[in-house]
Amino acid sequence: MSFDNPPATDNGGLAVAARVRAFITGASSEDFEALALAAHAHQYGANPPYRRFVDRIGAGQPRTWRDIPAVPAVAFRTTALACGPAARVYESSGTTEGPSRRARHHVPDPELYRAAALAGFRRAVLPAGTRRPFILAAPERTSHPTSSLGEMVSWLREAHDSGRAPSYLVAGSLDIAGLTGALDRSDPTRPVLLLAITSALLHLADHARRSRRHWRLPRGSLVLDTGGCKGYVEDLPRAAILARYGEVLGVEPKQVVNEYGMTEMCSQLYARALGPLHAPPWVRTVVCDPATGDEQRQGEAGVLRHFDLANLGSVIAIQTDDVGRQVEGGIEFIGRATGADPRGCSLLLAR
Amino acid sequence: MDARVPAFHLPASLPLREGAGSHHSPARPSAASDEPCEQPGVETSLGIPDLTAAQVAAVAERLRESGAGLRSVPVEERIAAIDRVAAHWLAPASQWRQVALEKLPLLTGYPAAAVEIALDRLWRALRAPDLTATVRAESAKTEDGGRGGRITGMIDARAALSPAGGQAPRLAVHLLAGNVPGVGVFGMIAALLAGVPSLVKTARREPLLPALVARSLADEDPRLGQALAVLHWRGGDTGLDAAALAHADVVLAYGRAQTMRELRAYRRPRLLAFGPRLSVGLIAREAADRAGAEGAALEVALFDQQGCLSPQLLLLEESDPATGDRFTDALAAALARLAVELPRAPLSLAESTAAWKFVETQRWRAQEGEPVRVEADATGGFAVVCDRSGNPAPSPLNRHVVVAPLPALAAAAPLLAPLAGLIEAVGYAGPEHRLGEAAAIAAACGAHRLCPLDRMQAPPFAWRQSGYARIASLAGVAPTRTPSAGTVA
Repeated sequence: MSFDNPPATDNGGLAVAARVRAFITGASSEDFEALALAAHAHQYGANPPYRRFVDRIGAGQPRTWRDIPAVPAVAFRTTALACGPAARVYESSGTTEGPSRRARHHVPDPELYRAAALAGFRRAVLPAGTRRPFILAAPERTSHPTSSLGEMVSWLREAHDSGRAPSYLVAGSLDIAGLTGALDRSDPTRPVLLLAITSALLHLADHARRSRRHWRLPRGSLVLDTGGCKGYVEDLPRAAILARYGEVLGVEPKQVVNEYGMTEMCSQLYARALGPLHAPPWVRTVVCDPATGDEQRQGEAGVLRHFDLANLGSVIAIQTDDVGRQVEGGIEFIGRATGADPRGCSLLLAR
Repeated sequence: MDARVPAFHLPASLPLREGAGSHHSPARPSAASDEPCEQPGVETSLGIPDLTAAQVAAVAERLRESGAGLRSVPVEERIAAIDRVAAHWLAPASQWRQVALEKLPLLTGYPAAAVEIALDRLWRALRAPDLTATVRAESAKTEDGGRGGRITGMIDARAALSPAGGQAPRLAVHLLAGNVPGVGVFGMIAALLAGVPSLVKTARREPLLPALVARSLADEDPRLGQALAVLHWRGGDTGLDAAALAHADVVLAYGRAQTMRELRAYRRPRLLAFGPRLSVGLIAREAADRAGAEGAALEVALFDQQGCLSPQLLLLEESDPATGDRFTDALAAALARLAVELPRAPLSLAESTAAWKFVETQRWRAQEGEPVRVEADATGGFAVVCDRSGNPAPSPLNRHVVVAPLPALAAAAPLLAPLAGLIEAVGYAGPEHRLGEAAAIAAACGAHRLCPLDRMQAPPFAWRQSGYARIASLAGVAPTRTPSAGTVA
């Protein structure tokens, strides 16, 4: 047992939930560290598989947030890691590793997820109270009921979309005619938010090249993309993606925001233009050496470990196999590790 | 020896200007990708010519003219020359050996001890008795098949005078991989014995050993050297690849599935595809002891499971439930010793991440009550996973091995069924009287080789690599994909 006095889970959980919510919404200026340690204590008491994990690795009581044991993200594929009954279960798409290896995030308190998603968006994309017509090529709650991204997109629309256009991502494929029609119809005097999965915009760019078309989004518009090149034929560097957006949509890099998120995590990180990803104040991300678990020095590539207070209902500390490096002012995302090719004729079955 | 070692070979009187820049191919991979990067302080300066497509074409054309000269050397003389070269290489004082031992660890990241084992295993397999036996065996099989001495016709100019004499391919192009030192050398030797000239393109990671092999053969008998060229250019340079392939009658390609797909798209030259495969160990209860574990550990550690003959999964027959635990402990202890004696090559970040993910996944399974036990090094150096779930997890390579305990050897066959067609070798440890059981399992999963567990990565020259007859497949007349499981080689 790592704790002398495991907290009474119900009251402790409610109390820390209120503190975390206040911190995320800006209603309190509490310390991240104090909240993270309280959240961890709550999770140790209320999340049995997490407790088994902490006990297995023999972790002592953490002194700082960095000491909080991070569960490997792969654990979400097999285990319900939740502090109580889940109100929603979000599933990853399975496009990277196959449908049988989907991650499942059991979320007891979707309201906290909503608060984090909206607060993060408002810090990085559109301020609170601002509405713009959305042009959408991304999942929504109705079309993708188990997608955490779909849920988030629906919340963003409810709070920030001044229009009611449908998403042009239908049943997983892009309605290119619908999307180009929406671009054709956009009012040049009203800035829009084009919210799309990256591959949809790359397909749009290919279509535009073939049909010799391009658009100029209204002045002040923003593009918000997510998902990387998953689902596209080529793995393009970010600069090339921005160049294609510029070509097809007439947007400057500074008008493009990239969202980094994962099913297992309720908060998001955002990057603008070619800049690094920024975490909101309720998230800390460190870069680790996968062999030792130690933190890498600034500039050295490693795997990302997130500490997300909005994950209060599951596990706040997650060790991913996403590759990145700490740079001045944020995290440079390098890619999702999908296993390394063997150097020759050995067969690698593990992916 | 000069600091700058020529990492190429050309037939005499076909000079190429050596590139201005020396070639650095250091061992340590970069942090962010599989691509190697410069490792400060470790410069292995090799002389490698900068090539144009026209030069590659000129070399290929010259080689295409050299077949008759090669075949005019009686095959017995070729075998004798190769045997003398093997003897040189096996002598501790051999200059070739010394250069390889000095440079290959820097190029490949494998320790000198591993390179030494690789060289010994390679050249011991290339002695006259084995070469002669393989030539005879494959010629006889082909003639039995009613294809009328085409192999002997190719091999030897005297036999070619016979009416049944066939037409030899005029050029074999070999596209090598750099995973294990010496991979591809059997193919070069086979081509010499088949009387087929060879243009060998080396791998970025290991451009040296094939060139040293060719140069040592040319030194011993210039007539052999006239039928060989060893060059390096960057894989995927379509101009140079196309120049080589356009002149090839047969291509021997080693490496990734993607490479094989790209080569199949060329269609014209016949392809001998030595694509990705894995190997497994089969341990009878009589051998489920410390010695068995140590033999298995060496094969797991040597070349870090990067070869198609490297064991990734060990099927262990238990006499009681403690057998698996004892074997797992002994295997982990042996791998811990080998981590010091035979250190692993540095991993890329992607490789380290895959290894970490594998170990953490297995630990999580164990934590949540699955019948899995994990013995892993604290710094990610190796892991042994004893998996009784009936669905053993695939290894991420780099000294991560799965032990699947079984109630009886026969239970291995259904466990291997999903891997049928992907298994190159079955390494067996156990009493001789149970070899038949092992052979049946190897045959059922389509393995090409059944061998002692502790000799898995010491293949004989006659090994039907990827199912191809070593020499006869170059002519395209032998049954090429007949599994040879059932014979211990």
